[in-house]
Amino acid sequence: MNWFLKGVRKGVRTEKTPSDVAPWSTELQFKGIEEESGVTSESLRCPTSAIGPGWIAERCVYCRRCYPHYQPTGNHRMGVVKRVEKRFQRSFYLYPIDVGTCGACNTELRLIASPQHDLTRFGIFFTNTPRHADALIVMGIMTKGMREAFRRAYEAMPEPKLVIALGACAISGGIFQTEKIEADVVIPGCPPSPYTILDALIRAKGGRGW
Amino acid sequence: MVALIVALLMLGLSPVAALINRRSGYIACSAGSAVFVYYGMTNYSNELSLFYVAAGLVWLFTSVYSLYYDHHRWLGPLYTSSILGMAIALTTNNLLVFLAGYEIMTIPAYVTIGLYKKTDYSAFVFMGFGELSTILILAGFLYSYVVTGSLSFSPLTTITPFMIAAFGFMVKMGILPFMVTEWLPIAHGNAPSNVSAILSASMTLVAVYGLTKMALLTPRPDLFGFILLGVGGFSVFFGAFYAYVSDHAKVLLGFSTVENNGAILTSIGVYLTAPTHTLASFSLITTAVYVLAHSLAKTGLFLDTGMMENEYLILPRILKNRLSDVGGVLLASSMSGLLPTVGGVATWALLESLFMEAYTLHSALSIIPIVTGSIIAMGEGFATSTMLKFIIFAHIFNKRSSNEKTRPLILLLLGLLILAGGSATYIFYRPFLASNPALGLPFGLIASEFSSQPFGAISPLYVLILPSLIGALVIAVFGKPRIRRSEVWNSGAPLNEAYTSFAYSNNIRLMLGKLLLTHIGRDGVKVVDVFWSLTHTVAKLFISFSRHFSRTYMNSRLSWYVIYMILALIVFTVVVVA
Amino acid sequence: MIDQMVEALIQVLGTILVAPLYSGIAEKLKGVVSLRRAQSVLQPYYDLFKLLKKETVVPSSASELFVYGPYFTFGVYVLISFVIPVVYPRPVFLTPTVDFLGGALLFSLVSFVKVLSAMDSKSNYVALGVSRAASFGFLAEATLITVFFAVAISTGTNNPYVESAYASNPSHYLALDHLLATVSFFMLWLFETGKLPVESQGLSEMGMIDDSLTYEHSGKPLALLKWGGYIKAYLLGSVWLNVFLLPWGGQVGVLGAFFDIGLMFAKWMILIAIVLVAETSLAKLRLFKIQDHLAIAFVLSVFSLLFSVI
Repeated sequence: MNWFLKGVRKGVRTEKTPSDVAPWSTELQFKGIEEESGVTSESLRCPTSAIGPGWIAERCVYCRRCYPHYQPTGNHRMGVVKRVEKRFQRSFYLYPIDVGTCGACNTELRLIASPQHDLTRFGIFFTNTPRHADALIVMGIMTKGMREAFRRAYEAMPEPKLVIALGACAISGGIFQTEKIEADVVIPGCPPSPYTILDALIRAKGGRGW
Repeated sequence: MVALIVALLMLGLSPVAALINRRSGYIACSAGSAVFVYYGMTNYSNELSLFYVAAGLVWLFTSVYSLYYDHHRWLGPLYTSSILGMAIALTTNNLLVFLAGYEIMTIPAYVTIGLYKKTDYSAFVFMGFGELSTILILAGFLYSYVVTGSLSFSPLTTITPFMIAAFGFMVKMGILPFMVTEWLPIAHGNAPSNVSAILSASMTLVAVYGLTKMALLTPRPDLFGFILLGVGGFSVFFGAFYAYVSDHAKVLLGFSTVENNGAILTSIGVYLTAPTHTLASFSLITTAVYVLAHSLAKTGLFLDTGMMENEYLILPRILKNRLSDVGGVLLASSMSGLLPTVGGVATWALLESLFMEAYTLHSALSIIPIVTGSIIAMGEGFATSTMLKFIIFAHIFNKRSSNEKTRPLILLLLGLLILAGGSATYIFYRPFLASNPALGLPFGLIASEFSSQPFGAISPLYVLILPSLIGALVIAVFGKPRIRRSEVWNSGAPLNEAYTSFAYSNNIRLMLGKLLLTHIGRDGVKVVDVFWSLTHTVAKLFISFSRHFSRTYMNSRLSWYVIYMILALIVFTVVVVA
Repeated sequence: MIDQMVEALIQVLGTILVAPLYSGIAEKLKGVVSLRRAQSVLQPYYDLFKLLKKETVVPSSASELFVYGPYFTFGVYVLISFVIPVVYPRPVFLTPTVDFLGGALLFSLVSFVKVLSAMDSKSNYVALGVSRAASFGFLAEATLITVFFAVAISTGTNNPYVESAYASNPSHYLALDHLLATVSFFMLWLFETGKLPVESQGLSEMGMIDDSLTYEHSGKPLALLKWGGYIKAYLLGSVWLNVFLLPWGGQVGVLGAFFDIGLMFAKWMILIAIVLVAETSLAKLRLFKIQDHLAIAFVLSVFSLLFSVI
């Protein structure tokens, strides 16, 4: 009863607009201290070759070695949606699969279910079986042991279905420089912030983003 | 009457025929059984005629099945003579002929168990309890003779003969403390599946028949009826409970027979104690319908085990076959007491009659039917889980397939019979038919009544038709699914190990550990059947006494069994003639 | 006859179409209490609509039972909605098909077919859930039967509509047997619909009891299973409201039937409020403790039976 009363008293704490975006989880931009052509991955010793020409979101692990040449813009809407599935507009079930992460992506993904972000208001939910899932969220580098499991999970999902690659490791191999995973939706970041994740998910199902 | 003579003649000939040629014996037995069913249907006088139909159907299906099953030289003659004994016991009106039939039915079964035995004591236990049953029944019959001065079944003025004989019949039915008589001979005795079917389905049917017949002739006892009612209720619970934790297919089914016999005994108890005449006749019909439901379904499930390569559900090795899968599911649903099958109607009627009795009594005595009803309700819950376990681990969770047609077809036919039979129960419940044309049921209601006013009503026919009809409508509205085949999702790993039947019931082993005396040792979880361990101790004492005897005479040499059979036959013939 | 058919149609459609809404409202409120904006109250409809359009993945060794079992169970649920007083307070077309106990047996039939259909996938997850459900089935099935009889015995008939009218009399309503049965049935309802403290829907405090039964299904069969789940919760909940907790207010006639749908909505808001408090304040019971929860419900219903005759 105590929990119930507390919950009623506190009211709804979900954000109406993105308000608390951490700067270093957003898009980076060249700030013009030197000539842009002079600043390359080699000169900055970028571990993932994410510079040049320009900033390559898919590879960046936000190590800040390029600072102050590159600085965050505050734009968190970095996700790239290659295929929009309108049928998931109001009901979108996600099955996360960890094929080899450090754990950061998992934690950030988990955060979109918090009262602050609340994925359910957009009709997005987590599920615990691929049979009920509309999208497979894959995190981490493709390790040998998980390759087969990942294939089976994809196979187990009913059509129509999306694959969402979350975080630099899944998209480009990250600092390990392993293979990239083919995905319909790409969410860069290391790890991506809940805002970035939610925005991409909403756009993937035909929304205008967050 | 001609039909009866023909049936008995054919059944009488079948052991002889089986001695010469096994198949011809089974064919004669099938034909005789078919005529027996015909006799029961055409001469339908009271509820006892329904026993003929049920028994005849069991024999018919089992005999036809045996044509494709039996591999042992002596099985045919033994099996057919056992059936002959049952036919004699069912059709006679003479006490001694009944007993003779009862023995002719028991002894071949005993020999079969002796021939197939895995353990020394199984045939012995079966015989011991069989003879205990016979002695009690004999005592009851003798008392009846003393009271009435007649050797035929005749109305009694005292309940004592019924009480004595009832204990005898209850031993045979495997009622509570004697549960061992049901499962042990079948399992440890390793009885062949066709013999298991008649052991479990129709031998107990004969015992129920005797009990019902005696009950019809006896003045209405007060206390004893309630005892039967309560003991039956506890048998339902413990039977279903032990069945649920068994992993041996035949032990499971044997305990399920205990459960069903308990329900039948309860129904007889309601008949004996019913405060109104209407309720009494309702519960009598219920008894007969329950017998029909149990006999058919149990026969089918035992015949099903005949197609298993391994009798342990932990190693599910039934040959997969679509026909037998469907048949098995239908039989199991009846065994679980689900509408619209015969078993569903019987379960419904039994529970209704118990609670109607509680309502009509409306006194402190109501506690007995209420508590019994609640215990039976729990037992029915266990029965559903048990039957699911059987079907899942015998049929669904296995990979090997079989192309066999005939035996699965028999199983399917039995399943369909039991499904359609639910709607045929209208015939038996003739005095209790009702209708409600204003609400769309111009016919086809069975109303449970304790006085002129109905208590409740069901319509098995409508339950048979409507869900499928609505289901078809749903398909029409939403369309058929677009199907893609894929492997089972097993967290990304290939599906190698399947969940076992042991794990399926292990929660209960642990949760109800006090009742099962669950013991967790180094070699896993073990449970104890309290009733059996008690009986076993007594039996061991008995065995040590009679070791010498058993070494000399019961040494599983066939000649001795045959001699014993012939002697028993002669003794009874002499007694009957005299 | 025509009137009865129209009333039946309103009752059945009122069940099938409105049932998901109550789940949506409950989930929405639960979300709000846990500080979230939460999903739309129409979310269950969105989910069903999407699933009906999706492909159905069938495990390679599964048979037709896996695919068409859900259609059958849905059919049985629809049949039950003809039978028990879930909207309209008088018997409607086809109501006498089964009585109260027959209704309980139909619920057992549904769970039997549902389990077989799910197990046909041969999934170990499903087997795990089935084994858990089977462990409590004996108490749940028994309580459903005894609680239905508790009212049958006090009225002398197993007709649920008569029982509803009987309980609306205050002296019968306040009798000890009725109150015990009311509590007992509510505890059973929590178990049957997978509410806390027994089980929780969603991803935290999962009981993996009934949830796992739909683990392998997808597409249309999954939609029907989910929908069936909503209908089951609605049927049992409405029986509890109409026969046990609030047996008052039902109007008769065709127009009355429309009014009854609104009345049911009001009654359901009360039930949802009770469940909301329970679900947001209680923690899940350990698996083996669920047995105690059900045993208490069972014993209460047996006491209710005893009190009603003695």
